[in-house]
Amino acid sequence: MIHGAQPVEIEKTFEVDEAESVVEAAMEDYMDSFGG
Amino acid sequence: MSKKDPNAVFSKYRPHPWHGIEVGKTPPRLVNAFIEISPFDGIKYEIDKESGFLKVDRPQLSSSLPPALYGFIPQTYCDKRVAALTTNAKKGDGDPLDICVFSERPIARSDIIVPSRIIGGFRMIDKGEADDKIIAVVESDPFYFDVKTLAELSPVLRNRLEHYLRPTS
Repeated sequence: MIHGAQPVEIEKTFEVDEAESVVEAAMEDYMDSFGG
Repeated sequence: MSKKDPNAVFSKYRPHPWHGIEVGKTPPRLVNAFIEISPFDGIKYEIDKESGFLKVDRPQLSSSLPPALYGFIPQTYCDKRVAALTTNAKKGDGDPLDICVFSERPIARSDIIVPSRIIGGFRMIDKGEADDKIIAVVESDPFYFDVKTLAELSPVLRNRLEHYLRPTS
């Protein structure tokens, strides 16, 4: 969660294919840290 | 007549929203969003990672309120793999992946699960940490049925969301 107090950079917007890659990466990060 | 095992049908206790709710129907396209903030909230709520309850973080710092439901995708985590997709982040922010969900009909509640269809996102860096925002629509919303990509979302809504997420300083 963000916004308000600290500068936040919007690096870019991305479309659905890249969004899917981000979700997949976050699911894998979850598995790495918390298991299944 | 055989009895059903209740543990196989439903949770006897409230699951933790981050760890106990499914990612979604068919991720990564169709996901669940656990909503922390509704578009009507002047307060910023966030999940308490230990208890799983929503807690008050702080009042919104400007008059800009979120134009979409705001929350996270269960069983996700922003760490090194998410950071590796960026050019400037050294690591992830250590939170579940944020998601903003547009609904044509007002949804005034938080602490709910919204089955969502992703359409794009914002790559964001907060103090050197990856803090991406996935953008989605309510999966069953007929108003957004033809919106498959971020480019097909109204630029008015996209601009409002960008304005909300931008720094106020």
